[in-house]
Amino acid sequence: MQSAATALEGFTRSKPAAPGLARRLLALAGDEPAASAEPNLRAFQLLVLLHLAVERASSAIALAARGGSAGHTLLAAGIALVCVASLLAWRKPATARTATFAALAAQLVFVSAAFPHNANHDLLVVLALGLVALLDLRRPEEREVLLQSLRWMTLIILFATGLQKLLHGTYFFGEYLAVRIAHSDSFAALFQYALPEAEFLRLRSLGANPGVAGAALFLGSASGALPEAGTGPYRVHSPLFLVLANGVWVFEMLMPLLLMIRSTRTWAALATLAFLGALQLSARELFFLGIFANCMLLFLPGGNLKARTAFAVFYAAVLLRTLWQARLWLLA
Amino acid sequence: MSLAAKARVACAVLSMLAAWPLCHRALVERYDLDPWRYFGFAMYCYPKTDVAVGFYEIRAGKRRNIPASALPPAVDRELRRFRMERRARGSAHPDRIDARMREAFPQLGELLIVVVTKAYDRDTARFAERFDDYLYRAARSEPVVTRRGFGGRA
Repeated sequence: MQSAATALEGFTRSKPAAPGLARRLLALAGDEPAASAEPNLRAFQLLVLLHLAVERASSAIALAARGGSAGHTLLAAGIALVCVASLLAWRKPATARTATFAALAAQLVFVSAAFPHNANHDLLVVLALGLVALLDLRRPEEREVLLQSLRWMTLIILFATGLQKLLHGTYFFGEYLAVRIAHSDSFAALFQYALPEAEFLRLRSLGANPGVAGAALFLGSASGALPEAGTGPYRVHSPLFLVLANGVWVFEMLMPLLLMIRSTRTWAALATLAFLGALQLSARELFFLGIFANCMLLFLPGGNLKARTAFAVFYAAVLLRTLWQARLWLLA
Repeated sequence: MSLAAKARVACAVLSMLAAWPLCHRALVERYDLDPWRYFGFAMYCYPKTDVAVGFYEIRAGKRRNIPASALPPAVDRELRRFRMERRARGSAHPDRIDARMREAFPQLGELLIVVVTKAYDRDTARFAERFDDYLYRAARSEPVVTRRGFGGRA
């Protein structure tokens, strides 16, 4: 009887159950063992916790400096403290998972309190933490599923950004970018080289700051006041500009497909990272850049681990920028 | 929880994430929501809108403007909250402002709140204004709503 049981156990061991539909679907996003190595995913986890600690601390500092209500400021400070404590608890593998749960809970409280005035990447952070909390990265087979899930999340979000631009239809004639070029210096800075001079000057004449041109625009702001009703039109006819404007949503929808194919994955990941970096010259969405770049690095073997120092410097600079802005708000 | 179950949970969450942008687009259209909000990843798709609010008291058929400088702090706070809410959800009504106004001015007659939404109009490729009039005849009454100007965001 005992030998039969042993034989049966041996049989079940030698014939593992075929993976289900869910695992087969997830595996489409890649199955390289090096990328799901524990140190790399631990680095990803660290960078998400670092991102959250810096972003929530920045929110609390900004709220306090701008004279927010005592209740809101205390809540923001409490959330920030939990996030910083989670970051510190990450150092020991035994407490890293608990830290992830605590950070997830803090982020959920923040998202609920701020809803609907949240940034879109707040959801990305919730999902990333949720997946890291769900799948234990100390176990090799769970690490593999974790890596695949995180990659799928990144692909879906990248595709969604392009799909939304297509559905809203404000890139076909370059309208959205034309509005931003007219009313935001940082957008004008980047796109002044893609527009004929007359068209560029026409768009800038619709805004409040038409006299500034050249490299000085890069020092300007990403946001600007809305113009009077009737201002426009914001359609652009320059072929080069239209190719660039439509190239944005085409790129965002095409790259996820290339990231799924193993032979094109590395250069597609590098191209997307370069694209993200170039966009920040105009958009200045540093927190989105930080968390999305961290997700994109999952497509490069060992990418998150190698970039740890660069991210630490980046987030330190972001925190210093927040402190500098808070000082200006307090002086104003 | 087994690994297979965890994989199913991850798949379910990712499926919802994949379906949400299309639902989001439909909801933005139907309820005049701000495309930048509600986690649809539709940032940089549509220029942001601006909202201004005007107040008029109506007595014996005559309209008298209540200037912003005459608003007490409680109304001013509610007004700021409403402008944020209105930018996120274009169908939001200023009922709470009416309530705060009547607390501050108990003798108030009919109150007309005019909400001016400045937004990009894709049909003309220009910025345009839409005026929504909310006429409150008495405290806690349903407003009579009249819309003037361009049709909406898209």
